[in-house]
Amino acid sequence: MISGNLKQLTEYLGKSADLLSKHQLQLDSVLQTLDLQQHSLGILAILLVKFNSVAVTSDAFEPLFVQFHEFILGCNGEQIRFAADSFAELCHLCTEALTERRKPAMGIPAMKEALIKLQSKESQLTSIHSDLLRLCLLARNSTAPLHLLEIDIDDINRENGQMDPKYVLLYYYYGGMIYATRKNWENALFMLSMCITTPAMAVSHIMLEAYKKHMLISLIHMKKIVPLPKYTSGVVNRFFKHLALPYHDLATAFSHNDSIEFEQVMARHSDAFVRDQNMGLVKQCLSSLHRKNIQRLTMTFMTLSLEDMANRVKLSGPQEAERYVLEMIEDGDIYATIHPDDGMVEFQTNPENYESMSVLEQLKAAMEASMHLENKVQKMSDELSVNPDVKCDMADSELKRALTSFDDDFGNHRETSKNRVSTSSAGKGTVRVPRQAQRKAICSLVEDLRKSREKEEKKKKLAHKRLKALDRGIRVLKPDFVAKVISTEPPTKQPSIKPKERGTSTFTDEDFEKFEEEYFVPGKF
Amino acid sequence: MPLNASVSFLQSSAVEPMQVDAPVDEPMENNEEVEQPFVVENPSFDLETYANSYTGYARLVRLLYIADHCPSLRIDALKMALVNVQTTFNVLSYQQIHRKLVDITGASGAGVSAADSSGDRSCRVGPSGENPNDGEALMPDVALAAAPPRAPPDVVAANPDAASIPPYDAAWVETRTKKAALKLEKLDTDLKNYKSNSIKESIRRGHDDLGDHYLDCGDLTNAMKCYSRARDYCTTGKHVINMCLNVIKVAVYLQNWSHVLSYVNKAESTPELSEVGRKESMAVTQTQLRCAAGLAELCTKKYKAAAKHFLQASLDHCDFPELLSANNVAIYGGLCALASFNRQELKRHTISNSGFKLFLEMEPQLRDVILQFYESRYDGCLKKLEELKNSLLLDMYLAPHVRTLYTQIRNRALIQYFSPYTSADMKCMATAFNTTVKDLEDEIIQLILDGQIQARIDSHNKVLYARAVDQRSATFEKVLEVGRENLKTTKALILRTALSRAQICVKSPMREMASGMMNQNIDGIGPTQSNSINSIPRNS
Repeated sequence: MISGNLKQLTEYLGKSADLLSKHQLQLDSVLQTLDLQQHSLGILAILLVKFNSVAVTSDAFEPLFVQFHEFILGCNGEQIRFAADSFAELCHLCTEALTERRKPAMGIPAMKEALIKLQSKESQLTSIHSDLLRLCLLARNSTAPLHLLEIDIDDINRENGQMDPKYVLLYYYYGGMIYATRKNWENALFMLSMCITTPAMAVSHIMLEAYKKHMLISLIHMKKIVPLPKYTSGVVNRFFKHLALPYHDLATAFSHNDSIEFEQVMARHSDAFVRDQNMGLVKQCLSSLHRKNIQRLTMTFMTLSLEDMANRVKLSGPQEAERYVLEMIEDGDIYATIHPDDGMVEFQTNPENYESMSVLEQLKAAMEASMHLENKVQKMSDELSVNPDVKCDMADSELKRALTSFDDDFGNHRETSKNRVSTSSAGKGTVRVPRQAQRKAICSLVEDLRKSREKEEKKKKLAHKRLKALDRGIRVLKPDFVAKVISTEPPTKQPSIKPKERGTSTFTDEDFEKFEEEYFVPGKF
Repeated sequence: MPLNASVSFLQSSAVEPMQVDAPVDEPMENNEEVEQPFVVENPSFDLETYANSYTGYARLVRLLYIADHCPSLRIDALKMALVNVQTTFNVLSYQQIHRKLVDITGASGAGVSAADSSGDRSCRVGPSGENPNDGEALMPDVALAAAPPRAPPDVVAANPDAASIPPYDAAWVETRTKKAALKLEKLDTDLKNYKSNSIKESIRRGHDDLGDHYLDCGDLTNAMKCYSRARDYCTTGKHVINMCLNVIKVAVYLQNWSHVLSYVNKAESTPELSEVGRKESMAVTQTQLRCAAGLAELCTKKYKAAAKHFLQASLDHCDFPELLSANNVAIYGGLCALASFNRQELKRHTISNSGFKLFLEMEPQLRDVILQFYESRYDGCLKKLEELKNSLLLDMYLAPHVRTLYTQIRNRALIQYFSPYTSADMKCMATAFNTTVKDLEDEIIQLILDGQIQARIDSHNKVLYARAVDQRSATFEKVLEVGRENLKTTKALILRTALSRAQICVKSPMREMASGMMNQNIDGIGPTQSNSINSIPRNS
C-alpha cells in the first residue's frame, strides 16, 4: 500500500463518521469482514463510532471492550499512526468509560500496548500516556507505570496536530502523583515542576493543582520551598500565589520552624486542604517539620536527652521523640546513637569520609549520566544545524541579539517564549507559530543549553581538580593520617583504590578535553 | 511605690483624660505594635540640665516623652514643658499640657483636686491664687521635701502638686492666638509683596520666616511646606544648605526619615560645603548633617551606618540644640558602634578616634562600657549597660531601639567570647555573662542556628565545642549535589525543547471547548487523584 492512499483513507474515514453512526446495526457485520492487520484504519473508525454510541453503563460495553483490546493487540502500527488523533481519542474514550465503570485495572495492559503502537520511538510522549497513568492511579497500581516514567521524554507525538497540551500536563501531574504515592519525592518534584514550567499563556487548573502539590512535596522532601526555574511562565508567578494562598501560609509557618504555628495554619485552612484532597500531604508536612527541627538540633547539640528533645521540638513526649530519632537514623537523615539507660541521644557527624570504592563508582556513574545527556544534546544541536529549514546562521543578527541577551544562565527562556507570544498574537488569532520564529526559539534554546552544560562541566572539572589537590594535600600534610589508613585497612584494598582513582581521573580529563574541542569547533552553528 | 507606678502608668497611656477604663485593653494593642508602653521607675539624671541642652520644639517633645514614660519625673517635665511652651505661639500644646497636668494631679490626688479638675478651669485661677512663676520655681523642692516624711506617698505627693499647678492662663491663650494670627497675616502679606517685586532673596526669606512662624505655632506640616518652598529661590550654596537644614529639622520632628536622608544628601552635594569645608561655620553644618543622617539611620534600624555617621561628628562644632545634644551623639554613636562593629572596627573607629573620644568623655559610663567590651570584660560591661538602660529608655529616638541594640551587643559579646576557643565550659561562660546555664544555652542555640557561631553543644556535660568542617567531605558532597542538579536541569531543558518543537503551550482563548473540557476533566479527576494521594498517610 502506498502511504498517500492511507492518508486519503484517513481523511475519508474522518468525514464518514456520520454515515457510520447512522448504520449502527450493521457495524458489527462490517467489523467481521475487516482484517485486523490489513484494515486497521477501518476498524478504528468503526470502533470510534461504537464507543461514542454505546452507553457506558450498559452490558454492551464489555464485549466492546474485548473488541477494543483485540484491536489494540492486533492492529497495524504503521497504519494507526496515520490516524493518530482518532486512535488517541479512542483510547481517551475507553479510559473515560473504564473510569466511569470503576474498572480501571482492566484497561492498563491495553493502554500500555496502545501507546507502544502509537509511538515512533520509546522516548516519545503520546496523549495515551496520561490515560495509562490515570488508570494506574485509579487502580492504585503504582508499580505498573514505573518503567514508563523512567524513560526521559525527548519528543512529543503531534497526533496530526491534535495533541492537546492538557495531556502533557496530565502526564506529568499524574506522574508526580504516582511517584508521590511511592514516596519517591525527588522524582515527584521533578515531574510536578515539569508540569508547572510548561509554557503557558493562561491559567490551567492542572498546573495549579500541580503547583500546590509541588509546594507540599518540596516542604516534605527539601524542608523548604524549592524555587521554580526562571523560565517558568509569567502566568504561574502572577496568579498562582493568590490562588494557592493557604499553601503559602503553610510554607511561611513551616519556615518559622514552629510546629504549633504550623498546626494552627493547618486547622485554619483545613477546609481548603480537604477540598483539594491534599490533607494527607499536609499531615506529612507536619511530620517533616518535626524531622527538620530534630535535624536542626543535631547542628547545635552533641548530646541531648530525649525529654529535652521532645520539649524543644514540641513533641508529645520522649517516646515520640525516640520514634522520630529511630526513623531518621534508619533513613540516614541524621547520624546518632540513643543510650537507652539514661535516655541521651548522641549526635555524630556524617561517618562517610568519601574514601570507599562506592563513592568513586557513584561519581563515575554521575559523570557518565551527564555525558550521556551531553551527547544527546549535542546530537540534537547537530540535527538542527544540518536541517535546511532552520536558518540558524550565527550571523543572523536577531538570533545573535537573542543569544547575547541571555546571560549564561539557561533559565532565561522567557524571553524566547515572549518572542513567540508576540509573533503568534500578531497572527490574528491563529496560534500557529511562524516556522521561522519557532525554529529560532528551539535553536536558541539548544544553544543556551549547550552553554549551560559547558559551564556546568567546567565547574565540575574544577571541583574535581580541586578535590584531587585536596586529597593529595591531605595525604601530604598528614602523614599520620595516611599511616593510619594504611595500617587499618587491609593491604589489598589500598592499591585497589589508587589505580581506580587514577583511572577515573585520566578518563575524565581526556574526556573533558574532548568536550572542549567539540565545543570550540568554529562555525558549527 | 508600685501603686504609684501603676496609677501613673494608666494615665500615661490614656489618650482621653477622663477615660478611666480605656487603659485596661490598651496595653495589649500597644504591645503588639510597638514595644510600648514602658515605664521607667528610677531615672538617674537631672531633668533640668537635660532640658537645657535642647531648644525650641525639640525640648518640648523630649520633655513630653519623658512625661509619658517616667512617672516620677512626669510633673516636673510637664511643668517645664509648660514654661517652655509659653514662650512660643504654640497654644494648642499649651492647652494639652495643661490639661495633662490637671488630670494627673486630679486623678492621683484626693477628692478635692478631682473636683478641681472637673470644675470650671477659669475659676481655679482664684483658689490657687499665687503667682504662677513662684509656684513653678518652688514646686520641685516642695514636692521632694514634702513627699518622703509622710506615710502614704502617692496621696500626699499629689496634694502639694495640685496646689502648685500654674493656673490656666486663658488671657494668655487668647492674646497669643490673636498675635499668632496677626503675625501670620503680616508675614503672608510681606511674602506677597516680595513676590510681586520678584526679588528672589526676599522671597526666600519670606518663606523662611513663615516657616519659622509655623514651627513656633507647632504646625509642622505647614512649616515643612514653607521651608521646602524656599528651595526655588535659593541663589547661593549657603542658602541651599540653610534650606536643607530647615527641612531636615522639621522632617526629624515629623519623623520622616527618608526625607531627612535625602536632604542630607542634597546639602552635602552643594559645592560650598566641600570646597570651603575648613571654615568654621561649614564645619558646624557638616557636623549637623552627620548627626541628622545618623539619627535617620538609627531610626530606620541601620545601626552600622548610623554609627559611622555619628563617629564623624566633631565635638567643637557640635551645636545642634534643635535636634541633638552632644551627649546624645556620644550615646547614639557609642551604642550603635558597639552593636554593629567588629573588634577591629571598634578599635579603629571608636576607641582610637580622637574626635569621638571627646564625645565619650561626656558620657564616662558609656566610655567604660566600650573599653570593657574591647577588653573582653563582659560581666562589668553588661552590668554597666544595664545601669544605663533606664536613662536610655527616656530618650525618644533611642528608646524603641534599646532592646535590639542590647541584644546585638550581647550576641556580639558571646561570639567574641567563644571565638578563640575550640571548647568552652558553659558554666564559666554563664558566670562571665552573669546568667544561668539554661538561658545561656538558649542564647547560644539561637546564635548557632543563625550561623553566627560555628559550634555544637554537649548538653550532657554543658560544654561548647567549636565545629571543624571537613573541607574534603564538603567538596565531595557539593560535587555530587551539583551533578544531580545538572542532570535534572539538562533533562528539563531537553523536554522543553521537545515541548516547543511540538508547539505545546497552555492557552485558553483559542479553543473554548477544549478548555471547558479541561476544567470538567479536572473536576472529574479530582476525587480520584486525591484518593490515591490521601491513601498515603493511611497506609503509613
